[in-house]
Amino acid sequence: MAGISDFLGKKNEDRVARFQRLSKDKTAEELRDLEKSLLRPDKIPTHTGKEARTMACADKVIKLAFNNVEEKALFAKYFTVTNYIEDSCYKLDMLVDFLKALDSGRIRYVESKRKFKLRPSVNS
Amino acid sequence: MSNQSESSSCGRPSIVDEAMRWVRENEGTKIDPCKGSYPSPRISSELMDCSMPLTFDQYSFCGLGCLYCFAYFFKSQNPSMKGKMGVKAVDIDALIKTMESKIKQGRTASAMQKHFYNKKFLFHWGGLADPFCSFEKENKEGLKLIKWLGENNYPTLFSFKGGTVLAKPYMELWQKYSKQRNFAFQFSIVTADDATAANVEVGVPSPTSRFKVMKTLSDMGYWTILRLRPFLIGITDRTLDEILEKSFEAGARGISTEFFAMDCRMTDGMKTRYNYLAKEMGLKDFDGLEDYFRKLSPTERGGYRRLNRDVKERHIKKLYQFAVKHNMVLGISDPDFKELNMSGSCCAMPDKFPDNPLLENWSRNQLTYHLTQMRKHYHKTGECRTLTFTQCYGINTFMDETSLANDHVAVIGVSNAVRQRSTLRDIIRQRWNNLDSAANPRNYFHGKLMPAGMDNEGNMIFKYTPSSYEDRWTAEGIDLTK
Repeated sequence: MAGISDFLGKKNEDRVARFQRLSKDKTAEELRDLEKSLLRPDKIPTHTGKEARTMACADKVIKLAFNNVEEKALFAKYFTVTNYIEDSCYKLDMLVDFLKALDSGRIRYVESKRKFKLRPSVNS
Repeated sequence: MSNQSESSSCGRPSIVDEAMRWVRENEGTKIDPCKGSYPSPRISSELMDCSMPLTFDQYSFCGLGCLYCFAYFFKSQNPSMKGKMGVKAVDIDALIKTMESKIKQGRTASAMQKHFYNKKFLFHWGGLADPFCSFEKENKEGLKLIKWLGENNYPTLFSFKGGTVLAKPYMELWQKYSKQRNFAFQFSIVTADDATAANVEVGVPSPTSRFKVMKTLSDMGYWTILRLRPFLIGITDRTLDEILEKSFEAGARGISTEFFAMDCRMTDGMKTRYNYLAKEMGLKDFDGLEDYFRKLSPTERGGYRRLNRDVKERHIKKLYQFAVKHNMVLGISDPDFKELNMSGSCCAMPDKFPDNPLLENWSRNQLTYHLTQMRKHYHKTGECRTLTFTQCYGINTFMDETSLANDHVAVIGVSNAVRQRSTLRDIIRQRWNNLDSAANPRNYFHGKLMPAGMDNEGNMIFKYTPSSYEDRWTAEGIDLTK
């Protein structure tokens, strides 16, 4: 992987050495001018490789959209929805416990009937 | 620019008079408990490369009048401070009970206790205000906590320049705990010239008296550090040799530096202050200073303008050589040359301190430590090492507590749910992976770490990239393995 010094190294070396040579016995004002004329920063070369996902917390967040406001209100009845910036909810223990029960088979969802069935014999 | 006249009637710059008025108004100020208490300690926003993220101030602002003060800048920009300039103090009694686990803890206090207090993690006192300024002289809120820290052998680093450190009740405590050596002291000094300091660090004891205090505390056996921050090019370099020699003579065992940086956001108050600083630095005025920082600062670092490493090289070289020659620990908090740190703490705390190993109890899970290790490895073996996110920040640390990220600037403007479930690890991971972020390691260190692929967890891997100065210095016989 090429680094910035592979692109800039020689150029940097030259200008720092040149600055050292030219800066002898200069006043503060002259030094500031010399720095501005000789020591401008280079741009970092553009990254052309793969980039990572960057949204903070993105791997823990899902956006839910209900069919209608009644369904959303039903959700809000059981889960605390706060509306700072946008409606959101983070107290999800009951939902997570429900999903775990579903996952373990203690609850089964019959999609054709839109009904749940309890299966108490199944251990978690 | 402000229309304010340049000089007062006595010939002193008017901004210095204004700062002096601030200092005098603060003298004798009593804390009004009705104003509420100030929340501290907090986690430093610089935790990506900070060895002491547990940072503390006992007052909400500082009674001193330093013209370069970055905290003045942040606080004067903060809308919550507008019209509420009455100083507040931390409820020290409650803090002590929290540290002792004697009261029911909230989520944040519990997390602080679990990850810091119970482990005697190094307490950094003096992040945004001076621990020993006039507020402390009058109110002595800090004194109660110093006693507790001493009684409990709790490791603490003070960053300061205020004179109250020498007052009798404080000196008695420094004497009492001198055998224990749980305290360390960082002395902020930016010039050895008393006359220059009187105009730049208004209301602060002279550098001459600060060196004397440094000697007093060093002679007691404490770890003392020259805090050469902010390094003001054009001011600090004028007396750099003298600062270093006097610090060494006064017993300092560490040097910590960071160069002055200039935020592109600006208030009128800051412009007036910077106008004066500009002239001292060899620039015409505020506009000249702005032009200097704009032209010489890498744009990849965003609006907080930090000069590029070529401008700083000759000064850092002097510091490095001085530290090697005198067996001192050099700490570089600046993103440039950060790899030259001699311990993993850029505040120049020691890797090893046999007199009281608790002073070694700072975090290695941060970039300063790893960048330093990578530089040493390169100069010992010729190999450029890579660094993954997990190698750098570890697992199961304070960074995984949601309660410690609630007040971070990165979660302002996001939904409540995301804020409540964000951790400091989420926040720094985003910066680690976002090559457009000014805080991304590639940008912050301006190419010193370059992307070198992705790891199994989907995070960027960074690789150490040697700079041209390393070849030049090595050719001159400078040992870069220290």
